[in-house]
Amino acid sequence: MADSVYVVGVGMTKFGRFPDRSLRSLGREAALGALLDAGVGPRDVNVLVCGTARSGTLQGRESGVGQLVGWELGINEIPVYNVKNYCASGSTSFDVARLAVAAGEADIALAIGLEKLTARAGKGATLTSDGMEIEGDLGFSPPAYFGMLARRHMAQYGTTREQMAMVAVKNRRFAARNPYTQYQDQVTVEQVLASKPIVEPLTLLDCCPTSDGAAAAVLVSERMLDRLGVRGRAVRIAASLLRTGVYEQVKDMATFELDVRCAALAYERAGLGPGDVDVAEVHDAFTIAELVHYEDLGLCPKGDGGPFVESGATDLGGKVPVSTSGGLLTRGHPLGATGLAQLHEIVVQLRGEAGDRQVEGARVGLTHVAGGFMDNDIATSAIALLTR
Amino acid sequence: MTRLPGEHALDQQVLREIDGAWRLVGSRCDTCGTVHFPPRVLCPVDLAECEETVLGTRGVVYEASLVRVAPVGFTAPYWVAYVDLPEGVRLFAQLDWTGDDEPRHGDAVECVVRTVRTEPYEVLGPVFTGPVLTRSVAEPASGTEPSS
Repeated sequence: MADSVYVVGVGMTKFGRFPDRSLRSLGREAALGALLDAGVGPRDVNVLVCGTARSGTLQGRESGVGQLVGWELGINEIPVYNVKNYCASGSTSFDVARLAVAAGEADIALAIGLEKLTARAGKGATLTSDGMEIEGDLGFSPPAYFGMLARRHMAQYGTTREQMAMVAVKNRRFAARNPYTQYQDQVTVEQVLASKPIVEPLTLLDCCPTSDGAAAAVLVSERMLDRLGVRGRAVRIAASLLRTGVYEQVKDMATFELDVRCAALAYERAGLGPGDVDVAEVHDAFTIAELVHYEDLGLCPKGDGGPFVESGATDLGGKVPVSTSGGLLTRGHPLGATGLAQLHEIVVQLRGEAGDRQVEGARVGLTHVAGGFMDNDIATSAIALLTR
Repeated sequence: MTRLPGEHALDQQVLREIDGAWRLVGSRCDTCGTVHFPPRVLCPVDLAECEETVLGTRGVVYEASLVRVAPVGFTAPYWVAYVDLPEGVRLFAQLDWTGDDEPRHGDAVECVVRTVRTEPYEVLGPVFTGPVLTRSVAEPASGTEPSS
């Protein structure tokens, strides 16, 4: 096994709707934040990786967003990898940066993820259905998928509508304590149930918003820790796994086999189990999704996601606080930025710098993105385990 | 509005006109017999070339939901579902549902082909109508009576 790779700096913009901000402006702020946090200069960076999902469609910047952001910061000459991988574009950026350091090709890597979704042309067009072209022509949308998934989970496990709403309520409560989130006002279960219906049984407050934002991280090799003098604040990447679906045609919709498989590999590689996780960021694009992710990641038994959130197990002070950043539901979901925003939260938590949303004594953190659709299944799973 | 050149066409990919009626087609692997929808050129299991196969018109609802906010080109509310066909494939489609009760897991439905989208281009595709009162397909283990 190669030497460990460490995260020594993170930065991000506030997420929200920023009609006056460009890709380069968002990327510059997040990347500069990560460099300053790490105490690393732009000339020290050996490789830059940049993840976006929709910059081609929305900004006409199909290629070279990494070069664009690098140019803003005087990062030039070095290899730049631009990656696109649905909602996992930021997680993929992180993983490619990790691979470059683990392979010995770089001692200092800068991973960036960004997206500007509010400039979307064609209001109402679904943005996250690459890989579902036929279904898109028949009326498919991601909320439709998760509406059906919610009904299946309710039928199979007795999950209640209120339990789903509790995810939104909890994540709003966290969001109020995180200055980077898009929404900070509080909601009640009643307000979630009474908000605008999107796809039965999901309402507007069950769905993540349309957002702009960027996040970045500096990854370094073991030998750079002392040279940079950052060992004390470094977070170790115990495992980072990126996997793709197997696209079974007839399957149990109330679980994501891909996430179960990816999580098992991540725990094995890290030498950890679900019971070791102190804090987790999961892909809560919809409230029901967070409940399914608890189960698929092994944080609770299959089918128990509803009672698990209701018990307070995933709230502050519970067994394993989840989405302490506010999650996709309230932090926002600028696709390419999400994976690195999750990393930002876990790094802050493991350093003990999360203020009034701090999980006491957190030593093991998990990030999870379920990215995009392909042939009626999720296309990508990205799971990382980080330790202090 | 007609389809623009280069836009994918469902009627070329998954529909065939047989004896004056549109039918859904999938692919069948000669080696392992697995049927896929949408049709594939190569079987993902053994890389054998697949043959086109016409799919049955009766299916069973795996799960359904009512869309309240529609993507561009569609008018809400409309029912959507994943429908299981006896060949072992599951596909996404709209439901044209006339039952008094909501469509449920196990309800029998029948495929018709009609225009499902007109903007920004016209799409001819499968829609499942229901409830179908006669049972003619294998139902899931926990199947329920078709609603009346």
